[in-house]
Amino acid sequence: MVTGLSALARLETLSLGFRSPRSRPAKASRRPTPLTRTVLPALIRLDVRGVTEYLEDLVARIDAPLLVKFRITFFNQLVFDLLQLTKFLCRTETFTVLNRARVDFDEHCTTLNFSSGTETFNETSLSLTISCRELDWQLSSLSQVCNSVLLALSAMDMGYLNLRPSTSGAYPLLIEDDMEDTQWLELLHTFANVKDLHLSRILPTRIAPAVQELTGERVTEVLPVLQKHFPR
Amino acid sequence: MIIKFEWYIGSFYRKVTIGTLPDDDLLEIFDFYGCGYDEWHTLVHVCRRWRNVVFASPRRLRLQLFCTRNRSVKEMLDVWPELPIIISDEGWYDHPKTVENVENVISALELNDRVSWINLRVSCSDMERFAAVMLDPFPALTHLDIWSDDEMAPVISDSFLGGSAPRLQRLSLEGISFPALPNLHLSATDLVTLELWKTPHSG
Repeated sequence: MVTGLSALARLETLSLGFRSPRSRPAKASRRPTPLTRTVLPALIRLDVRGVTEYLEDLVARIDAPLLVKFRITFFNQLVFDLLQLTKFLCRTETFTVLNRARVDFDEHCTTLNFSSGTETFNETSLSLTISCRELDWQLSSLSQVCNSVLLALSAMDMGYLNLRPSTSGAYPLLIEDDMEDTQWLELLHTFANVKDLHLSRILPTRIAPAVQELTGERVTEVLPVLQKHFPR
Repeated sequence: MIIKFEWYIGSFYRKVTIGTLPDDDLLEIFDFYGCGYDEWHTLVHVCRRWRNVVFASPRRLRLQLFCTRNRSVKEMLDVWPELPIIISDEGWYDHPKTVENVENVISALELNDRVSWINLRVSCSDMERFAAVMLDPFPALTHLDIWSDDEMAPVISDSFLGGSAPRLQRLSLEGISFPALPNLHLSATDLVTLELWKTPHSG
């Protein structure tokens, strides 16, 4: 597939999506990362929907210097191994200046949006959606994805973080009593550079106490540079 | 002040009828009006002069024959000059196809050197019939959108479009299997948008 793309010097939009998570490359067919990558010189928008293995194989093989919109939708899976995505983000200029993050929780998925200070989230540069209904799975997946993606973006201060239900209003306020505070803290811990933290009041009740119980050394440990905390 | 303004306007503009406008001005107006899809049908029915102006500039006015599943393509071809052809299901996606509908689409697809735009929702059996008349190159094709909701994804064969699509700018396949697609890329050097959604496991 990628080999054929090399002829498409005018390609501006590339969208690839699979029907189900059963579509994944066989281990035997996965080739090692090539020494040279295919350059897509005009690509400005990339949408991928599938399992991480396909995304990893794709981004390991391409360079897209003009890419400004990257939307990824993962099917639910246990392990998110995103080493190649991290490398791809590091070598693509648009994604090295992102410093604002917003997490939207929805009934069917959770979405992590990144933008730079000069953009609104309506023009999000990088968006990662994880298709998953249960909140504890959403949080676990988010933490894994954030760990990888924020590693790529660590050169910039991810100074702003907003956690909220999606604007669709479909979020049923999944208040799960068996959830541990630690899941929220693990997620927050991935945003260690955050200065402005915005939490929606109508998010599940666990997160607000989880943050407010952070005092003294514990705050410094989880969110060392936090300056403002805005429950909404 | 108002009187002066009217006098000022009156000294520079005089009333004219549209019949006194030169052909170039008419063409400018038609172009501005927009002749996409079927809009130009209205213009060519006004009078012979307008018809001549419209048909003298088919490229500038982007004239195309809009073939839908419920139009008799053969009748359209008898009536109108040789124009690029759009084949579209738009507005009919939710209606089941009849035998006549499929035949209409096939009649249009058989004019492979004139088809510029294809937008079809297909079943497996539709795709088999359409693909059978899409084995030769479509040299004027710029947009190709095919999608399917069938549980079993329709398959596009290796020899689709004669394996080449030199003017294709947009290719969008949803719920369609096209294993030989990478080969098509090699000739589709004008491609700007490539969308492959709900791709089945078979590729």
